[in-house]
Amino acid sequence: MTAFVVRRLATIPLVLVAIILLGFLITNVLPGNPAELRAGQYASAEVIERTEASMGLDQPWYTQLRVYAGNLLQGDLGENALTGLSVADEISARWPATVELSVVGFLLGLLVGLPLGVLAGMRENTFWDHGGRLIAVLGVSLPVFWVGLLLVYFFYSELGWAPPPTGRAQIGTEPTEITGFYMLDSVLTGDMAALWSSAKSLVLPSITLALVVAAPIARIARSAVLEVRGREYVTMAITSGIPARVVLRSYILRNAMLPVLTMMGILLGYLIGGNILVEIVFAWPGLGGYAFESISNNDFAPVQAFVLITALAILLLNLVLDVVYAWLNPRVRYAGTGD
Amino acid sequence: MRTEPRPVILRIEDLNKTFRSRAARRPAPPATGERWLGGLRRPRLLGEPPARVPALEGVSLEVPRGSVVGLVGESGSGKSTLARCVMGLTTPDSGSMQFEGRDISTWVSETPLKYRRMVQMVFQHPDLALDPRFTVARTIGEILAIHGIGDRQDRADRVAHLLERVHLDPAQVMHRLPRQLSGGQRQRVVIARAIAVEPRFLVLDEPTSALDASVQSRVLDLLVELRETGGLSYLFISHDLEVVRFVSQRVVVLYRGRVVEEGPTEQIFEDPRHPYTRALLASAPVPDPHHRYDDRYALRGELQHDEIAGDSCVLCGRCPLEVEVCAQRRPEPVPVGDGHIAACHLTAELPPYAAGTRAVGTA
Repeated sequence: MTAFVVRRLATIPLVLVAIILLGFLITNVLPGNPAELRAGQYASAEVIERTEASMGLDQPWYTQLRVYAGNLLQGDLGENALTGLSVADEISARWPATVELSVVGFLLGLLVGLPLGVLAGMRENTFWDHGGRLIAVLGVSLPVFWVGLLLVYFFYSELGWAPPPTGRAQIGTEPTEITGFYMLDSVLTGDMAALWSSAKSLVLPSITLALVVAAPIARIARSAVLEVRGREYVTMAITSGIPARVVLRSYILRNAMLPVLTMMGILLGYLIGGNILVEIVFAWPGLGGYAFESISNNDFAPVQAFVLITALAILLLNLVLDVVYAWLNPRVRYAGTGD
Repeated sequence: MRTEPRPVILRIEDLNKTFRSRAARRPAPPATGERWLGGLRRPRLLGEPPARVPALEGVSLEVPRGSVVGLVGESGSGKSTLARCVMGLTTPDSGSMQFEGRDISTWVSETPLKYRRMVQMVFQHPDLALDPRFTVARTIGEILAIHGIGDRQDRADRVAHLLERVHLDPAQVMHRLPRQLSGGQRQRVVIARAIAVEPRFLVLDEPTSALDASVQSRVLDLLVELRETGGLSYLFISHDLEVVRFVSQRVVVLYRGRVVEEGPTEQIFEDPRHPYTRALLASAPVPDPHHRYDDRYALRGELQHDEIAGDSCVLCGRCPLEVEVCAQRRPEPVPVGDGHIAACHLTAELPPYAAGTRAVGTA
């Protein structure tokens, strides 16, 4: 198992180098000039030229790449051309918002999607199955931003149950920041008003995100359970005298979890796109919205940083998934060990 | 050759099981009656109601203690449904199943462990019957643990002993995963697991059909050996007639959920008294390049799952001997020999079975 993890870890630096190169090249190939943004709308050509020189944009691309890579090694992600602030600082202020939303949304999605899918798979062609499938199809086919807007419309505008979609807490009730995770900070400081306020603000965006996760998870869980349930070793388990509850848990679920885990890995990537949309709809001050603004502004540094950070996050999460996968499925563990 | 009557270990009487299927066609509705709006057929919102497909119809059979009863028939004849009923995996619609004189359904629902300790099953696909995540030791040890047999150390010894009984080297295979074993080895593991609880009865559902020909005979030898040394009785399901002939004392021929013929193995093979049995025997491959398939006994078409109209014989439409009465009355099983029954109107008039006589001799 350790060898397996080490093997998987060893591939990460290679992938990172590739991503750094790609991120750099793509942002540089795209049209647009951050110097124009920095110099302002009414700057003369001469001013723009000088700004370009000061930002190093007049250098050939390989020199720029060398400078960029050198800065990266020192933890310098560059400057935001619009604000002039360090991208590293901006990102460290924003990432907890995204992680908080993603974790809550992802877990909520699993919590709904998994039982729904398993139930549908165990009770094929019943009310539960049809109901679950309807929800799953809706979840897969409805655009995320539209679901978000609908939720805001009904629960904020019409019913008034939800707080306005303006960020992570109502103004004036934010917790004192320690970790940047509002829920956690509220608990740490014992600020119940802040906890209530940030929890309320989290409800609609995380439900929106959860739908993106729950629908495909439910579909894949259903088909996996249905397939495993009909396998002979499940029948053999039953005829061996293993109680139905144990058969469900240690035969059907454990084996059906493999495709679900694969789907979770795919969804992690998908979640980034979902995050950007959800963050925009709910004015959530996270990385998604930040990346979106930077892309619209043709601002290289933040986009490159965003690509790098999300790639790193996905790599690490996939590593975790692979380890769980190997734990569930010994066949993966032994593959490639020459056995 | 008369066999002494032995006490019956498994008795099945008048077992019925019907499945509903949308894939199967129902017989055409009568011309009168279901008419609507000047002759149009009434449209159905939810499509045709599912057809009733009988998987088992009035099936009765007995397995004497210590013997092997072979169950043959094409795929779709109801063989596996019968096996599932005996294993308590499928609930029959009606009829009775008794094991050692006790009703199986109540036994399975009240004390499943005790029943499963008596009756075990061997599956067709050894590669599917083993959990891919479990080593051999764990697969076999698990069933011992469920039935509370032995402590941890004792179980390891038992697993090794069981592997030896199925002629596997414990040291070699104990810690392997199913995918690291050959097909024959896997089936031996499945058999070892089935006999681990020292059952009295095995339901063998096509235990050798998924194996290579060279491995088949050795697994069959093993099964015969285990029955003799372990005092077991088998219900042996197979579509392979030679295999059934090799292991069984009695043979039951199933067609579309009905017993069409039943009798001692030699009588079934030497003197089959039902056109379906004859067709099965005549169609079995013969390892002789000069042999010609004897089409005098061939059935027409393929087995259909459509509902059988009215009271006709189940073989109607496929039988080479079909006469008028076949479509009007369903034949009841009649005795045609010592412990030999056949359900065919023409059974008394059948000429002696002589498949292969038209085979071309060696040049």
